[in-house]
Amino acid sequence: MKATTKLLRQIHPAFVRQGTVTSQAFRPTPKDDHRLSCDDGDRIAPEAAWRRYTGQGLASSGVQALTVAVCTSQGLLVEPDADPYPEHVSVDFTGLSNGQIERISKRLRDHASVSGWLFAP
Amino acid sequence: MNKYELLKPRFVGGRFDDHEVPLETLRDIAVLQEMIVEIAKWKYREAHPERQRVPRGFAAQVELRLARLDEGSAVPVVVVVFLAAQLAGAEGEPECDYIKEAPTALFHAIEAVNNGSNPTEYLPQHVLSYFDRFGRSLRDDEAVEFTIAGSDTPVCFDQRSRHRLIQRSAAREQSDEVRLRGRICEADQHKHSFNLMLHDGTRLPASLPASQLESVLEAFKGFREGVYVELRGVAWKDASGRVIRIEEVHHIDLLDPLDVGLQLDELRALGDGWLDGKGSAPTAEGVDWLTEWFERRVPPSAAPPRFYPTAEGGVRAEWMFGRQDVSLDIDLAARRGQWHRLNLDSDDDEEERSLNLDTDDAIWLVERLRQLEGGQRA
Repeated sequence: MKATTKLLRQIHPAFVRQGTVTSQAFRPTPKDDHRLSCDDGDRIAPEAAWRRYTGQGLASSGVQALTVAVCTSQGLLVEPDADPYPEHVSVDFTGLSNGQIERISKRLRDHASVSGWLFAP
Repeated sequence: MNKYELLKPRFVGGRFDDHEVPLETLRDIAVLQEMIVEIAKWKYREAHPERQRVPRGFAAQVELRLARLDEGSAVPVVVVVFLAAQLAGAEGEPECDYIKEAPTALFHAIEAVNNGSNPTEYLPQHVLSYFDRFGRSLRDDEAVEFTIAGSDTPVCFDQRSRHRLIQRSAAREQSDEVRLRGRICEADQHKHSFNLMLHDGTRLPASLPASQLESVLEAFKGFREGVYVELRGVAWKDASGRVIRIEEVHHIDLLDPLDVGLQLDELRALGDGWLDGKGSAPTAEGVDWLTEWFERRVPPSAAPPRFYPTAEGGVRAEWMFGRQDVSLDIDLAARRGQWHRLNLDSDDDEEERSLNLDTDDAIWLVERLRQLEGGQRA
């Protein structure tokens, strides 16, 4: 992955209000074990990523993206873990306090909002 | 003309604390005319089991009037006026005695239901059904205190008492003042009717008053674009409290897409597991509280937040004031909020605060929002 690689993030419908995405969408939920799930945008297109995701019965209003550079600038480790599928990437929030997670997720949302929706059905 | 002070119900709490009575409450008070007369007729029949009917014209010469408003919260003084100089029922028994005794039965029925006893020991089921209209306009923080001669302790009548009394009545449904939010999915100008579609898809038919025609048609045109309205009026509910039809339409207002009540209504539709199998749903009681909290504490002129559910069963409010990213994570059970503000253009301009939303922290919050909004305009 390059610094400019887009990390595709599926946005849950409940995290969208009048087109605006909550910063919660850019931090791991309790089920995620401190790891934010993304897809490697160099290896899969936003629409294909959305189709695979929703094809598993999961809900998504569309796809937004962060870059690897934005994540690392926030001190986050980006790991292409290929689990549970080859294009899967985890952004690691382990060890961060709630305050740090709050701050970082707001900055990530801010960056993602610039490019906006890469795919929305 | 014979006049007698019959009732001095004391309205307390909420809107009555300023010693004023909302005009809509007069509708409730007016029900006392029918209710008291019906109690008197029932008492007459109880005293005269050999008679199938009350004497012709019974109570026709009886009129209840609002004489004045005494202080002490708000105390409307209801007098009964016996229009005929001498009222006499069968066997020479004065009808006015039955009227005068009626408030005591009313008092005991309310007292009984408050204590978990059976109110039908004091009033028959058909009379209890008048509670459908009496007390309908009371809000949750309001009550009516009744006193009778010989008792020092007033009996308190509120929405809980009212609902229990209606449940004990012959009525299978009950009406309540409601605020319903939904979309207008049908409108028929010829039949003067429309259908309101609630968030859960329930369609409620209603009559279309001429005064609300413009709002209804505008909302109808915006149905596909998601235009919502708030309807205020009276609706019938079934035994489970579900609205089944609209009885009266008082006002219809088009809603801003970020209307607080509208947004929070959407959160009510979430169930546990809403986040792809995980995620707790906010409780209905919690959402009720938050809706009321915002309406009471945050002035309508303040910038509305965007509301989102949290995985933990809370609600998150978010505002953007220029480059100031503001959030309030609300714990509905604890009634606490975690405030966070971040200047997205700065590395060290950040603010965190834990708020108890049942205290003056709420004032701090509103003031802070005003400052941020003002800073955005400056």
